[in-house]
Formats: sequence, C-alpha cells, structure tokens
Amino acid sequence: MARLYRAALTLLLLLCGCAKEQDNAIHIGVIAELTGDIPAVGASCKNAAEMAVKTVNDMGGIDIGGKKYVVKTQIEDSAGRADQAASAALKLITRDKVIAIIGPNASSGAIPASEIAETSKIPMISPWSTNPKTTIDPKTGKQKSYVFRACYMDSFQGRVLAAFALGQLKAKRAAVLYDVASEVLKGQAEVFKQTFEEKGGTITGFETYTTGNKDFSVQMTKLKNGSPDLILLPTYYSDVPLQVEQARRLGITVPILGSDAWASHDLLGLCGNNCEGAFFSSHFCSSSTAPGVKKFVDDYNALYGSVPDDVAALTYDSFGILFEAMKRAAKPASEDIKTAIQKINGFQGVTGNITFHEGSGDPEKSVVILQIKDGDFRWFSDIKP
Amino acid sequence: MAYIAQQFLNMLQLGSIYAIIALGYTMVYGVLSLINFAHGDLFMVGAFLCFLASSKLHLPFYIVILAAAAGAAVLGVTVERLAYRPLREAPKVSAIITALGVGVFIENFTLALSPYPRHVPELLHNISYNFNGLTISSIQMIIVALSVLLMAGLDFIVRKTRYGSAMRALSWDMRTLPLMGVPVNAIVALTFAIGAGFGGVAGTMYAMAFPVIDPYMGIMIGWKAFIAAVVGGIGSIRGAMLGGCILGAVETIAAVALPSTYRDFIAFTLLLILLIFRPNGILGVPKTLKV
Amino acid sequence: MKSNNFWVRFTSNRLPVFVGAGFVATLIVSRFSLMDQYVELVAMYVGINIILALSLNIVNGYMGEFSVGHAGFMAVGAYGASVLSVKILPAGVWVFPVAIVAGGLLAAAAAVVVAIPSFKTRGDYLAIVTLSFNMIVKSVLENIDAVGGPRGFLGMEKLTTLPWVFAWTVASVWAVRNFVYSNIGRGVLSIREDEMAGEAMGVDTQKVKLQAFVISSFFAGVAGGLYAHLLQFISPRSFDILKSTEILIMVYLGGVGSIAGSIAGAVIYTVLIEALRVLGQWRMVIMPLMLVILMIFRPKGIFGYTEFSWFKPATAKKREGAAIMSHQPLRQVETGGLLAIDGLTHYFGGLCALSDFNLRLSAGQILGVIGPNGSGKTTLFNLISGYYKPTQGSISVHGAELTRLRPNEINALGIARTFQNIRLFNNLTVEDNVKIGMFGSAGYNASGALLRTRRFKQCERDMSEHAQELLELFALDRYRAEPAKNLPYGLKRRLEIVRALATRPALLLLDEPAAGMNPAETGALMELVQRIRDDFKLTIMVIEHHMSFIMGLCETIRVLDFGVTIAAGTADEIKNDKKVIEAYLGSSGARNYKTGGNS
Repeated sequence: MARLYRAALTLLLLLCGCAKEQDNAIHIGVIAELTGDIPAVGASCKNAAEMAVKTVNDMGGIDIGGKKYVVKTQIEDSAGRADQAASAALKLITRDKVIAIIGPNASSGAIPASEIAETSKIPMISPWSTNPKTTIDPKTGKQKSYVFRACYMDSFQGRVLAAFALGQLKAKRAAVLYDVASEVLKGQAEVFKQTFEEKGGTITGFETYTTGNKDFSVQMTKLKNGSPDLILLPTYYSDVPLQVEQARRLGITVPILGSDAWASHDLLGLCGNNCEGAFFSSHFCSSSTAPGVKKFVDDYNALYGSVPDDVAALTYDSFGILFEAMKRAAKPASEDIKTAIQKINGFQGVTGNITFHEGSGDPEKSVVILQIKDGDFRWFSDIKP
Repeated sequence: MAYIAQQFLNMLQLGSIYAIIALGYTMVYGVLSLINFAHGDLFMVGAFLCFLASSKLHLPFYIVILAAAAGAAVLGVTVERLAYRPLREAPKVSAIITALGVGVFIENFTLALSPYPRHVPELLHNISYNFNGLTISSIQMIIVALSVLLMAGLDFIVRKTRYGSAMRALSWDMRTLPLMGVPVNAIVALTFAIGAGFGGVAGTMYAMAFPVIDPYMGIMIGWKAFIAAVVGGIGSIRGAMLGGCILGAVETIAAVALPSTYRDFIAFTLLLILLIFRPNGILGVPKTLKV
Repeated sequence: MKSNNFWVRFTSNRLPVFVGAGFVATLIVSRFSLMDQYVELVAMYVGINIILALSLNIVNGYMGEFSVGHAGFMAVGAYGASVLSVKILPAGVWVFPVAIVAGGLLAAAAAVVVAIPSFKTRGDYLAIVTLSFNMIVKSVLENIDAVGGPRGFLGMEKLTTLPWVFAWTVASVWAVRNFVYSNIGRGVLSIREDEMAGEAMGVDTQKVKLQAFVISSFFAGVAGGLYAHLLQFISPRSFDILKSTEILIMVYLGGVGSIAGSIAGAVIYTVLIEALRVLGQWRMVIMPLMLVILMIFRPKGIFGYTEFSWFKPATAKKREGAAIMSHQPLRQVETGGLLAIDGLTHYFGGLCALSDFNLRLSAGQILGVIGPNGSGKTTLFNLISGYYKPTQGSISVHGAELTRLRPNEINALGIARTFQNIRLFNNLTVEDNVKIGMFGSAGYNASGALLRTRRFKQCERDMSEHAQELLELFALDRYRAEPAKNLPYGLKRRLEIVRALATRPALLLLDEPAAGMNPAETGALMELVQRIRDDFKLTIMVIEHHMSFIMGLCETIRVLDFGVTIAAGTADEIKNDKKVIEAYLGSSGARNYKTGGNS
C-alpha cells in the first residue's frame, strides 16, 4: 500500500515538475494527433513543425525587437480526442509557458483548444481545421481574436468545386460519396450539392459512409445506377484508392473530382493508375516550381524521405505566419504576436498568398486545383476567392 | 436486375470476410469461453504482414497469404501463452479485459512504427468480367471461393479429426480432459493458431479487396465480426459463417434500401431485434442450466 | 463529559467534515484561481472519470455482467444536458444542475430501452447489446443536424467548475455506496456470485438488474453532462468505442466491485495519460501494456472485491435487549394441505425424468424422497422451485398454482431450498449470504436506499439483528464477517440451510444435505433438521442417500425410480418393499441389503 502512495506521489510531482526557463528562448507549443484515428495527420504536422523550427534556428534564431531568440517547440499528442486536446493546450500554456500554439489539426480538437487559447489570450493557429466554428465564439457569434487558421474553410472549397465542375468540366449530373463521420467532408459535400443545384446542375446520387468502412461497392453500385457524368469524392486520401478502384471495377469511367482531403502524396502510390486524370482542390501543389515551394518540398524530402502533404505544408505555413508576426512584434509577448498576425498581408507561404483581415482569424487565400497526371500532382488552375 | 445481382455479389464478398474473422472469435470462445477482443488486431497484423511480404519482399501471392497466416498464428499463440494462459483460472472478465488491452497494445505499437496508411500492391492481376451490366471481378471470386474452402476445411478438422474432437471436448470440461491424456495446452495453442491464422488470411484477403491498410483497421471490423459470431451463435463454426453472411447482407440491404448514412444504425438495430428473438444466436445452443 | 461526547461524535462523523472541508477548499481554489489551470482541468477529468468508473463498476464489477458501450449512455447525457442548457432552458443559476440531472435521467431512460433485450438472456449478450447501442447512438447523432451532426454541438457555457465536479463526484460515491450496501445492492451481488441461487432466495433478478443498470446509466449520463459543459464542445466522435474502452480500462485497472477501485482506477489512468505525455506516440503503447501486466498479476485489479472502510456505511450493532424476531414462516397454514402436486410430468427431450408424480403434503411433516441416481429427485425439486417448467401437471402451494412462476416468486410464496452441490455466494460474507435470504422482506425500495431514509436505516438494523440471531442460533456467528468460501464443508452446508431459513419459508426443500458427511456429522444434521422443523414450524422435503438419515427423520418416504413413484409410506413400509430393494440393489442383492442393514 505504502508503495502505491509513493508511486502516486512521484507521479504528482512529475505532473507538477517545472520547466527551466532560458531567457533567450521562446517556446511554441504544437498539438498534433500523434495517436488515435488520424495518426498520419499528426505525423506530418510533427515533421513539418520540427523542420520549420530547425530552419529558423539554423539561421541563428528569430529576431524580435532587435534581440535574437532561439525557438523551442513542445509537441503534445491530442490522440485525436477533444478532452486531450484541451488538456494539452492547458499544459502548454500553464506548464511550458508557450507564447503561441500551432494546432490541433482536427476540428474536434481545435474547437475546445481554441476556447482555451482565447480565454488564456494565447495566439493559436490551426493548420488544418476547416470547421467555421473553430474561429467563432459560439455564444456571441463573433470572431475569436486569438484564434487563426492557415487553411480556407470547407464551405469555400465546396463552392469552388461546384463552380469548377460546372464550368471547367462541363458536368451536368454529379454524384457524391462522402464520409459522414467527418465534419469537414460532410460540409464540403453539402455545400457542393447546394451550389451545384443552385447553378443548374443535377445531383444524381448523394451517398455516405462512416470512417472505418472499407467496402464502398454498395454505394458505388447505387451511384452508377444514377448514370452521373461526374463523381465527387470528398473523402480521405486513404479511402480514395478503394473508392476509385471499386468504381473502376464496376465500370465507372466518368471524371472524378476530389477535395483537399486527397492531398497526400501517398495517394499516388495507393491509387496506382486508377486515379489518373482525376482533379481535386488542394491547399498547395507539391510539384510547383516556385522557389519557396520547391525548397520546402526538397528539404522535407531530404529529412523525412517523403513528399510533404497538405497538413505538412499548412503546418509549415502556420509557423511561417507565426515567425513573420514575431519579427514584426516589438517583444516576444502573446499580445504583440496576436496583433501582428492580424496584420499579416500577402504572406508568401508554400500554400499561396495569405492575408488576414482585422477581426477575423480566417485567411484570404486561393484554392489550387490539381490534376493527377503521369503519376504526379500537376497544377491545373488557381481559383481566387 | 443486374443491379440487384451486383449488390448480391458485394454482399457475398463482405459476408465472407466477416465470416472468416468471426470464425477466429468463435473458435477461441468455443474452447475457452473467452472473447478474444485482440482478434481484430491480429487481422490487422495479417494485413500488415501481407503488405510487408508483398511490397518489401515481393513474394508471390500464395507465399504472401501463407506468411500472413503463419505470422498471425505465431502472434496469436504468443499472446495466448503470455497473456491469456496465466489468467485461465482467473475470472473470465479479467481475461477479456486483458484481450482488450493486448488489442490496444498491438494497434498502437503498429501505429507508433507506421503512422501512415499503407498501400498493398496488387497481388493478383484483377480481371473484370462483364455480363450484361453485371461486373464480376476475379478478386471477388477468389475471396469468396477461398473463404468457403477454408471454412469447409475447418469444419472438417473440428468434426472429423482427433484434434477437432479434443477441441470440442475442451469446451465442455477443461479440468478433466488432462486426465484423459489430452494435452490441453497444446490443443488451446492449436485453437489459437488456427483462429489467428484465419485472421491473417482474412487480413490478406481484405488487403486484396481493399488495398489501403492502417493500424486501426481491425477495430471496427473486429467488433462487427464479433457481432456476426454472436448472431450466428457464438461457439458454433457454421454459425460464424452464417452470421458473417447475415451481417454482410444486412449492411448491404440497409445501404441499398435506405440512405447509406443510416447503415450502421439499421444494421445494429436489426441485429438487436434478431437477438431478442434468438438470444443464443441462430445456430447457438442454449446453455443448459445446471441446478 | 460533554466535550468528550463531542469528540466521539466528531471522529465518528469525520467523513462529512472532510468532505465539507474539501468542498470549501475547491470553492476557494476555483474562486481565486489558486490552482494551476492545467492541474485543475486534470482534476476535473479525474472527477468525471471517477463517476464514469463507478457507473460502469455497478454493472461490470458488482453485478458481474459485461457492458462495453458505456460511452453511449455518456453521449445521451452529454447531448441531453447540452441541448437543454443551450436551447431550451432560460438562463439562470439553476440551469446547470437541472440540465445535468435531466441528462442523467435521459441516459437512464435509454438504459431501460437497452435493458429490455439484454436481460432476457445470460452471459455475454449484454456485451453485444451495449456495443451495438454505442454504435447506434453515434450513428444517430451523426445524422441529427439539429445537434450539429458530425460537426459536433457547441454553445454551452463553461459551467463545469471544480466545486461542481467535486460535489457530483462525492454525490456519486455516496449514492453508489448507499446502493451497493443495501438490500438491492446485495441482490446485485447475488447475481454476480450465483444468479440461480439468488433467484431461489427470492431475489427478483430481472428487477434488480434493471435497477442497477438504470442507476449506472444515470451516472454515466451525469458524467456526460459534466464533460460537455467542461469542454464546451461535444461531437459523436467523443463517445465512440474507444471512449468505452477507456472506461473499461479504468474499472479493471482500479479493481472490480470496489468503490476504492473505481477511484484509484480513474485517478491512475487520468494522471498517467497526462504524465506520460513525454513519451509521445509511445504513450498509448505503454498504457495498455501496463494494464495487461497488471491483469496477469492482479486479475481483479488493484482493489478488486476489497473496500476501504470509508466507503462502507457503518454496520448496525445489535441493540441490547432487543426483542427476538420471529423466524416463523411469513405465511402459515395451521392444518391441512400445504403443497399439492398432481400428475407432474417432465421430459428432457425424449427422456422422461419424472412421470405422473402426485403428492399431498400437510404442514409440519418431514417427507423423504429417495431413489437411485437419475431417478428424478432433483428434477422434482427443480420443478417445485421453478427452475424447470413441467411438461404436464400442476403444483400448488397454499392453493396457489406455481408452475408459471419464476423461482423468486415461488420463494415469495414460502418455498425455500438448498442445492445438491452447495451454491453459496462465495465471495460474500456469511452475514451477507443470510441477508440475501431476507431480500424479499426488506421494507424499503431503491430510492430509500439511495437517500438512506430513516425507514432504510430501521430496516437495515432489523435485518442485521435478524441475521445475527439466526447465525447465533446455528453457531455460525463467529464467522459473520468471513467470506463464505472460507468455511469448512460442513458449515457451508449449514449456512446454506440458514440462508434458506432467512427467507422465512413454510416449506423447505433440502437436496442431499448430508452428502459427504461422516456418520457423526449426519447424526448431528438429523437433530438439526428436526429442531428446525419444530422451532421454525416448517414443513420439510428432503432428498438423501443416507438411509439412516431418511429412516430416522422422515415420517413418510417417497421412492422414485426412472421418474416413476415405486413406493410411498412410512420408513418401515419402505424398508420392506420389494420394489424398493430391487431398484436399489437389483434382485440378487436383496438378501445382503436385509442382513447388512442400512449404510
């Protein structure tokens, strides 16, 4: 029994253990989904965060108000769960004394964490949370002032996809299959449907499945029955190959359109030839020849042996935004950094030009449409808001 | 018509995969009355072994499937030896919780090593046959045929061989069996080997049909296969096959007839209703009360 | 004198003082933000997890059933409370407690729906039903756009504070303690230990299971409501199978069937999850590994089946000079027919176990039933006590037909029994074994138990006294607090009889009470049975193979062979009956039997 008490006490002490302060270091917290149901997102986020910080420190750190600071990151796991995202955020703020937080990526973690960031007055940038509610205070309906995101929202993406389908692909009859358990994908599918129908198109099938399902043959057979001339798959890239393959097996040959959830380079390997010719909207184009993007992709590849996905790019840009704001801030304080982020205008990130408007945490940036061609992602067009 | 036939084929494919995983549950339950909640994760390990064997070692199909089965079987027997055997005399629930813990461990261990989903290369060249709008793929046919073959084989082993009768005897009385000269530990290990091996085969078949695999893939399908085993009558091998097919059918029909959003809802509600009327499952024998 | 008195009172009631002080402390801490917010948040998680673990422990630990979908009930409570506080109730200080209780009640209502299919069967089926329920709830929530669908629901104020969590946790511990250490709680334990024996002792297992499940779900719902108002955000994904697994791990880590265990499990799990953050993605590898290792070395968890004395209500002491309770049957028939059996026939498949059995038994008699193994004696007992439904025929006691009744209903009519192979509640104390026998005569209900009303205390005291008297009467009182499994064989037999007597039957069925006893013990048992009959004004039916026992004790004897009554009469008549001798020894052995006497 005594041993048990001692063990509990040791644990408590561990929990209360204090971080040593270094006066020329600034601490940035990262909350990533390292375990749980979207470990790939967490892994990319962690990789990009470590790389972003290394790049800055290799250049001698960051210059704030005439003084050089070394950047230190503390990466916490949210396990993809709301409660752990909240406790990670509080730990970073109260224990590790971070002055800003990057993450969480999944909206289910970003929403509770944003609530904490807002009340603690610590700026938070979520690289990947596309849920509109992340940056909005649900009680007042106003924008939160300390919460930002590096991506555009799914409603915008849904509208862009509908316009692209009708305009560039000349589709009249579209069928949709989406993951109902994902808020993001559901939002994209619904906005697409609404916009597509408003602009004169017909939705011939609107099917769903739940995360974890791997057999889509039933839904595909139903979709095939409506003889669409386009299929929209707002689904995660790990499901896309299965869906496309099953569609092909059923003899479906119409163009396939996807959303940003496709944007992992693994998709190319996973899909084989089946995805050739498909379009999808994305945050960035890894095969871009723009110098900033190319350097990012090459560095990432050199470090981790893979092409960065959109989460990695958005995390990298989140750090970019943060560093940019820090440089402009007078001192390394959360309040100054927040104000500086709000004034970011035309930041040249790997995912495009990012501008924040006063009083909004949602950036203004364009959607990239990519096509899978010759086994790679090819830039197809940019659609501005 | 072709539409209905197509959906029927989908149902067969899904059902046979469920059935073959459900078999693993039912075998272990039949012998030890233990719900082996780690079984879904053995299935996942089977799929990952299939991935390793095919994409890293470039082995041919039949060796891949044997390797996956053997690997899963070895893991199954190891887990039994290390985690379940010490608990054979303990309350049954402790063993079940241990199984749950082992499952979570295997998932997260795999995840810590490989957080990204993996793509399994095409093991066999897929040929699609088209009959009047009905598309049949060779992979579908292989999956259904293979699972029917395996189940028939298992049924034969359990019903007609010495080992089979030892397994059946074990499910009745574990304490007196050693007195009859039956090596209980060996038979239990054999049961686990077969059950887990089937999980490995199911993992390979699954990876053939749905070639993207991730460390969490075994959770949902494992729970569902468990439900299939119960619906068929847990402990009954033929019941597991039947249960797998029924679950596959219910899920397919629910998705066909209604918005597929409600697939899980409808499928599980129907299963619950079925259990109200057949509480011991379709082929399950009610446990006789010993007063 | 007075101060001394105060001191005694203070120490004996120090728990409420500590709890009060704790509550005030949390109030101060949260009012003046004295605590690091992170620690405060983790402390609140701990509280919520304690409630969840307690809730699941009722079903899995105390009742011994296996629920795996408790997150489903948590979800119902969370969404119910949130919708109420955000959309329905007007603002006000009372909104929060009302919403939380309403969430709990909604979860309890869901439990009633779930319980209907699950408790019809035994075994692992509750696992399936709760598992399916969990998935159904998640699927339904994903489809309701009014609560945000998969996007989740938000807009709750941050109403969950440390004092609230503390208060709810204490209230839950208190309520669960009251429930577990009550008559219904003992009924719950009897289901875990031996459901069939529980039924025979008059425990309405269906009702008790339902009550336990509903109360358990209520607290899961409460925890859900607290969770929702703490994070101000809930989504269907928060309540998936993984969440249920988390609760299961806490319960089995800390210990099944123990409040201390629930608390320990929740604290250890929640704190470890945070403390092991340094391990990154390996954290979730270490956690299950620790659970597995713990399970192997302590299969029931850290505090399995044991309890700190703080979590046990004080046991009532026997009052000096208290009136002796009546041990006599609740329903007494002065003269004439007690039990009437007509044409009773039972088949197992094609096998006739009992055929056309007829009996009239009047009050005060001792009837022996003998016959070779497999002759249908125990089948007869099982038919009378309701475990089997007869293929044909009728059984009535006090003129009431009982072939359609469940065992506990039959017990309530005044029939109690013992079992051929002793079926005590092994992990429970001798006293609790006897008290379960009094299940039917407790004069309070579940709400009385939860709130510890005066009536509850009065009834509990009466029951303790009654049990004490019975134990004294049968010289078992010094084993009062001993688990039944530790008793020697003979005392186990005796305890089983005492337990049956505690139900205050008019008719007692003894199934081979002298099995495995030596002649001296058999003789003592004979005297005991006789004394019971006289003191307790009972009618007794006894199955036995010891001829001396039967011949010396029974006024009349029935002999069964292959389900057929082959003889009936007094000891002497039976002794000389040819058919009986043949049935027992075969015709050639008849001579030996006569000369060798009975053995």
